[in-house]
Amino acid sequence: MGTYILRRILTAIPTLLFISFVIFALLALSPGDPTANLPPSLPMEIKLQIRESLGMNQPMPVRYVRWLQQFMVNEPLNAFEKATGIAIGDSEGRLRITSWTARGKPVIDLVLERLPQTLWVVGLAYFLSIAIAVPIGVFAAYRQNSMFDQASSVLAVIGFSLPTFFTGVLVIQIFAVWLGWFPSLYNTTLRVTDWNSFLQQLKQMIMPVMVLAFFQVATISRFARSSSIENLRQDYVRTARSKGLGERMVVTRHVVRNSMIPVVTLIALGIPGIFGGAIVTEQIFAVNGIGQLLIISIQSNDLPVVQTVLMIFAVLVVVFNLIADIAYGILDPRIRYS
Amino acid sequence: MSISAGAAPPKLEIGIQTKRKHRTLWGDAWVQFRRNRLAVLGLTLIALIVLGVLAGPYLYPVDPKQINILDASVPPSSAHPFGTDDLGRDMLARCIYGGRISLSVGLAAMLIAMSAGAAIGLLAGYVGKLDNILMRFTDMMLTLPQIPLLLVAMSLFRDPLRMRFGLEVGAFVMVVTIIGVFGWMPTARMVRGSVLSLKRKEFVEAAVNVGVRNGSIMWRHILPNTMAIIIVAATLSVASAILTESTLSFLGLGFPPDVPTWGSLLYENRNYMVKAPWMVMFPGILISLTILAINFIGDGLRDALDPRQRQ
Repeated sequence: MGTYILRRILTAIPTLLFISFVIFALLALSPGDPTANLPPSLPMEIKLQIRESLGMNQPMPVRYVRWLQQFMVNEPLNAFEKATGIAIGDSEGRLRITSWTARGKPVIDLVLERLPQTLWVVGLAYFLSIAIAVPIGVFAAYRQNSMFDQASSVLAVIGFSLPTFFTGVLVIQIFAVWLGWFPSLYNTTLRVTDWNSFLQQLKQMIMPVMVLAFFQVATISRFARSSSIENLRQDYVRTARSKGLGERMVVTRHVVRNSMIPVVTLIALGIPGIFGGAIVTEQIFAVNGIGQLLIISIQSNDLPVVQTVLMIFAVLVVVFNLIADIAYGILDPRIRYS
Repeated sequence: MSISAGAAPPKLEIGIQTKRKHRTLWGDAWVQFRRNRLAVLGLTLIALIVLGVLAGPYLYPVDPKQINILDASVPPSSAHPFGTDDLGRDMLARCIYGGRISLSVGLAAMLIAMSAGAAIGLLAGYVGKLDNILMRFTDMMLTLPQIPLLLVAMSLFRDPLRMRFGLEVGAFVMVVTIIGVFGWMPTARMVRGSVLSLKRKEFVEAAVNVGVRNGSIMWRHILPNTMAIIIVAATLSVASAILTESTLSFLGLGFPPDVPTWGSLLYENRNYMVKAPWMVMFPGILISLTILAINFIGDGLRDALDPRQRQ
């Protein structure tokens, strides 16, 4: 098991390097310039000095390595120091990734301000969709070709055909405009201090979570269904039945356990995708998460922020791929030895 | 078939042979496809949408760019079946025009993704030396965070292309290439898998023994046998390309707002969502119906083209 995990981690490193290089190269090729937002009356010499101080006139490979060091070493160290208060080495002289537009604020601070909102909405949506989708999938498989199965499969196709931006619009129209149950926009200044503000927070999160979860339920329930169907045909199910186990026991103990193996992989692999979906929902409901940060910084040409947010997405993808692989190896011993 | 009891056996045999229709792979698939009610519904819907978008400008000759402030934000009526937007432009005309762009983006991006996917899958599956490196590359491409990268790529390369090809064509080239470049990987994987098993089939061995060159074997013998997979993947990729285009446009980074596509119509009218819902409902419904219909067709095709599914 140890060598299996080690091998997986080792193959994840080149992938991460490849992605980081793509992100860096894409942005290095872009015409964006940190001095573009400065007042035009500024003399050219000063602009050149600023460019030099940011290391813009060095060759691309040097800039890539320096950027990588900032992202992989300096910023995690800074975050660590901030969290624990322990100083490691020269924390003042360390080069930081700073935003071009938000008055030179470190990018990590911008990201950390916005991460909790995204994590709450995305996390809640994901847990909810797993809790709904798995029972639907298993039951549909158990009653294959029944009314329930057919209805759920049609709903699933509808679920992943409806674009999230349109379900968002629909949900606002129904729940905020017609029924008036929830506020149509996310109140970003709300602080949860007492029961009332907690309820308010819950209310404003319901719609974004609903939209994200709808899409996820469709994908996961389909997958859970096909995996359960495969397992229901296996010999061990017949054995379990013939030794007199009740149906409930056969399904929950034997079939569900085994058919969740590929589903766990899918769930881990789907996490980066749901962050992508969060970009859209944050835009619709005006949630101030990192998806919105990405859009704002693309529009204002703030390359360091764009690079950092992209890298965070990339790290998420690689890490969850790794988790999926390892989980698969733990749950299914056959994978480890092949 | 009804045969009278007294018919002589030899006659019967002839009878069967002439009566039995010549059956082809595609004929069989069609019979199977028609049994799937949702797939037929999807096909009908798509036919209607394509027809409406193609014939629309002739049946409903209203200029989608005609601004008329006096008629701004009018709800659906007989004069404007889909209402008008905040500048008084007719929404039905804009939906028809936008549908032309959205659908052609879907088709063009699909063509790029399919050619790249089929070529890479074929090479990886057939040429053993290339397999490892090509599949590694495919896996790495799959791990890229798609939507965020698409957004960044769009914003970076939009202006140069716009200057080169003009507003509309520039955006079209951009959107189609970017979606195509990020869309070939699943097809490549599926094609490779199928090529790996086809390579060991007798007919390929026979072709090798007769002395057919590798290029021809790939092109003439193996590729046609992977067509079923490619067609299903192509159908589904049209849907996902339309979805991606409208997502990009909805975030304001696809087509510029002056070029109506279904996604950019939603983007430019998103602030009127509450006051004038028709401005976002119609384009949204059209996108959803199109994608839904294509996905139903894709499911139907997958069942119809898979011989194992047939009774």
